Amino acid sequence: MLLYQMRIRNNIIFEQSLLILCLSVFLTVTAAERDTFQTPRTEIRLISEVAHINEGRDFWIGVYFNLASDWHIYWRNPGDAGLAPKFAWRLPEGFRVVEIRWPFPETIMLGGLANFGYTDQVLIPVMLRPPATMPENEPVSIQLSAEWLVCKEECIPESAQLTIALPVKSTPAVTDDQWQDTFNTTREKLPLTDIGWNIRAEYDDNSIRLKLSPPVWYTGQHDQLRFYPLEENVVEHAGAQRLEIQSDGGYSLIIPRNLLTNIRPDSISGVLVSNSGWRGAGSEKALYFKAGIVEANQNEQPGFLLAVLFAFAGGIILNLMPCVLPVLSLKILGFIAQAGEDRRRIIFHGILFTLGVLISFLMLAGVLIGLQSGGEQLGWGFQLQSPGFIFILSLFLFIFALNLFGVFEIGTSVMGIGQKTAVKGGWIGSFMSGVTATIVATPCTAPFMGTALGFAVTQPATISLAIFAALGMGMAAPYMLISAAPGLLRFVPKPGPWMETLKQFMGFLLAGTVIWLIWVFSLQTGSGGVLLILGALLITAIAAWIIGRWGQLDKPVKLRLRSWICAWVLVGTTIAVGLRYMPAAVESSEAQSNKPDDLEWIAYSEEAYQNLREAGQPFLLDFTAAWCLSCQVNEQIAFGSRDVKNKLSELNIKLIKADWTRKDPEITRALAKYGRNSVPLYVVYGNKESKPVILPEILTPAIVLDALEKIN
Amino acid sequence: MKILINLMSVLLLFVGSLAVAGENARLNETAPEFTLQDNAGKSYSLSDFKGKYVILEWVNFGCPFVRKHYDSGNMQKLQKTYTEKGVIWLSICSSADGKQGYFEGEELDEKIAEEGVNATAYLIDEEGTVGKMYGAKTTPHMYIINPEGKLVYVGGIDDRASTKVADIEGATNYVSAALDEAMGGKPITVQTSKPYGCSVKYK
Repeated sequence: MLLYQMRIRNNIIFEQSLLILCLSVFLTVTAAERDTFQTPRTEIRLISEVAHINEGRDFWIGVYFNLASDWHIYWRNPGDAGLAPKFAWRLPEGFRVVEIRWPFPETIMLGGLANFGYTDQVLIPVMLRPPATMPENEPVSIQLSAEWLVCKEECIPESAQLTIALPVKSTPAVTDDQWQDTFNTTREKLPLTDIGWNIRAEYDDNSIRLKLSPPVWYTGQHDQLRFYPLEENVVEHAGAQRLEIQSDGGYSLIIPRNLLTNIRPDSISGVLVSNSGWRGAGSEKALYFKAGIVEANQNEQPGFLLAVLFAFAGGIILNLMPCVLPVLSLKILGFIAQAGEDRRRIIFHGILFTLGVLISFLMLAGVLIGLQSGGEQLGWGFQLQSPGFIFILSLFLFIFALNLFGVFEIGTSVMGIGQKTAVKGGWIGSFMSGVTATIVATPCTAPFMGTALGFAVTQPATISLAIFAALGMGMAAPYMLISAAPGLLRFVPKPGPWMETLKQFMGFLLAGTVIWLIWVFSLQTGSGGVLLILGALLITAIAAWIIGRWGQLDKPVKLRLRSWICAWVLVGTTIAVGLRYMPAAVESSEAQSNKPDDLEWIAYSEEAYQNLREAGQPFLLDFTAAWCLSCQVNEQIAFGSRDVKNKLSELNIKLIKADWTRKDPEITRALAKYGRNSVPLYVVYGNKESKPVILPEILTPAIVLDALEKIN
Repeated sequence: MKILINLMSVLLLFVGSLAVAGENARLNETAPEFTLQDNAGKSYSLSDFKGKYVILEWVNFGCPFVRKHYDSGNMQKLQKTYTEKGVIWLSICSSADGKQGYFEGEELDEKIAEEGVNATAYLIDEEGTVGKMYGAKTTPHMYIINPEGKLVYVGGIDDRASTKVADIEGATNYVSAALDEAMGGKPITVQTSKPYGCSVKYK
C-alpha cells in the first residue's frame, strides 16, 4: 500500500513540476518574442517593411510609436528640454545598423520653451545590413532595447524590450502589406539631401542668416520655412524665424542665435522644413543641409547709411501726408505768432518741436522693438490697431479743436497765440505739438519709409533707434529750417485779427481728423462703438464748456478750482468708462461691405494665397488698413479708375485684400516676407513661374496698368 | 538754455537705458542682478554675494531628471562639498503656481527637509522672471558666477543625459570640474554644455 501511495505522490509532484516548467518556458518565450509594448501613454512596436529577408541585401525595419493625445516624444535634437529616444540593438552575427532616419519634427511650445518632437504616430525607419551568407531557413531574431521620454506637460521616462523574427529566403523579398503604407508615408517626411539647393550661412551679433538659392529647375515657392538645428546651444529654439523672399528668386532665413551661450560655430547643420515641397509643389517638405558659417562681413554698413538717408527723406515727405497736415497746422500758427519775437526764442521753439518729434519717435520705436523681441507680431502703425488708443486720441484732438474754436483757454493759451507774453506757456505747447504730430503721423507710410523701417527691424536695437531718429529729424526738418532762417519769416504777414480767424479755422481741420478717427474706430468696433465714442466726445465738450465758462483767469480762484476739478472728473470718468465698455472687435469683413466697389476683393488668408499660387492664377495683393490714409487715397485713385477696373477683369486678375486694421499675425508674417512691417504694400503675381512684382507706395492708375502688363 | 540741456540729458538717458534694458544673462559677461525670497521669506540678492563663487541650480522636485540627482544623493553631496568651501549655492524654482515642482509654505519647508537640501538657500521664482532673465530651460540647469560677478559656466550638470541613477557614476560632472579649475586659479576648459532635463514649468 505504501509503495502505491508513494508512486501516486511522485507522479503528482512530477506532473506539477512539468506543468510549471512548461508554463515558464512558454511565458519566457512569448515575452521575449513580443514585438509590441504598451503603457497608458505609448504603444511602441518593432515592425519590418519586408516579410522575409535575403542574404547580403539591405532591408528596412522601423520603430513605430502610437501616442495618446496631447503626449509627445522627441526628435534627435529634443530642443529646449527633453530627451531623444535611445535605441540599443541586439543583432545576429554579421548584421549591422546602416542608418537611422528621423522624420522631420514639429515644434511643441510649452511655457515659452520650444520642444522638437512628434505627436500621435511616428515611424522611425532603420536600415539593416545582413551578412553576405546566412544559413537558409533559419529565422533571424532582431532585438531592440528602447528608452524614451514621453511628455504632456510633465515627463515620464519609459522603456521596452522588443523582438521580431524574420525568415531568410532566397526568393526576392516582398513587402509586408500591413506596414507598407506606413513606410511610404514616412518616407515623404524624411529630409532630402543634396538636391541642388545652394545654402550659405553667415552670422552677426544677434542672428544667423541662411541664404538659399534654388536650382534652375525649381518652380515652386516657399512661404514658410523653419530651421531645426542639429547642433546644440547655437540657435534660440523658441525664437521667431523670419523668411525674406529675394528679388532674384532666392530666400533668406533669419534665425535668432542663442545669446546665453553666445557660441560662434564654424559650421551649422540641420533640417529646413517648408510648407511646400523642395522639389516643387507636392514633394517632400524637409531638407537636410550642412554648411560652413562665417561672420557677416561689414558691407552691411552702406546699407545702414542708405537706410538713415531714406528715413530722413521719408520724414520730410511725411509732412505732406494727409494725416499729418491737420495737426501741423497748429505749428504753422505758432510760427506766425512768433513772427515778431526775437530770433533766439524762435530757434528755441523750433528745437523744442524737434525734440518732441524725436522723443516720440524713439519711444514708439522702443516700444515696437521691445514688443517684437517678445515675439509679438507687430508692425509700424500698430498703436492704431488698438481701439482704446484711437478712443483716447480722438478725445485728445477734440479737446484741442475746442481750444482753437475758443471754447476755453489754458493758462493764457496752449498755442501761445494772440499775446506777446503768450510764449510763457508756449514751450510746453511746442514740445507737445511735436509729440502730437508724431502720434498722428506714424500710420502714414511715406515713400522711402517702408524700406527703411523694414531694414531697421532686422538690426540690433541701437541701429534701429538711429534710423527712427533720422525719420523724426526728417519730419521736423522743415520747421527747424524756418526757425533757424529768420529771412524766411519776412514772408509771413504781421500779427493781427486774421490770426484769430485762422486759429478757429484750424480747429475745423482738427475736427476733420477726429471724424476720420471715428470712422476707423467704427470699423474696429461697429455701430455700438460709434455711439460710445460720440457720447464720450459730447461729455468732453461739456467739460471744455465748463472750463470756458467758469475756469478762466478772470474768475475767483475757488470757482476756477472747482470747475477744473469738475472737468477733469468728467473727462477721467468718460475715459475709464469708455475703455471698460469698449465693444469687442468686430469682424473686419464689415470693412469690405462699406465699400461700394464694383471690384470683388477676397479676404487674405495663408490658405487662399497657397491655393491661388498652386493654381497659377494671377492676382493682386493689397495690404491696407483703415487708419492708413495713404492706403485709402491709393485705393480711390488707382482702383477707382475705370481703366484699371477694365484691365483687371480683362486679364482675369483676382484681388486679395489683407486688412491690417486690427492686429493680425498672419498678415504681419505675410508683410515680413517682403521685408516690410508697415502698410501700404501692393504685390502682383502672374502665373506659376513668375516672380512677384512689388508696386510703389504711391499708386497711380498708370503704375497699376504697367504692372498688370508686365505679368501678362 | 537750461531747460534745453535738461531735455537733452533726459533724451540721452532714455536712449542709453534702452540699450541696457532687456539685460539678459550672457556667458562671460556680468551676470544680471536679481532678488528673490526663500521659503522663509528672507530676501537674497545676487549683489549680496560679490566676492564669492555663486552657483545657480534650477530645480523641480517632481522632474525625473532632478530626481536622478536627488534620490542618489548626488546633488546634496555637491551642495555640501562646495558650500563648505565658501561657495554660495542657490537652488531656484521657477515653476508657476499649480505646475509641477511648485511648493509653498509648510509643505515647502517639509520638502526641503525631506530632500536633505544642503544649498545656501532655496529661492522661489514663481513669476519666472529670473528664470527667463537667465534663459533657464531645463531642470536641472546649472550656472556658475565668479567672485567678480561674471557668468563663467552655463549648461548641464554632467555629460550623461538620462534619468538613470546608474549614469551618475562615470559621468563627467561639469560643475565640479569647472569649480575645481576656477578655484584652483586655472581657466575653465568647458564653459558650456547642453543642459538636459524637463522643461522649466513657466507660467
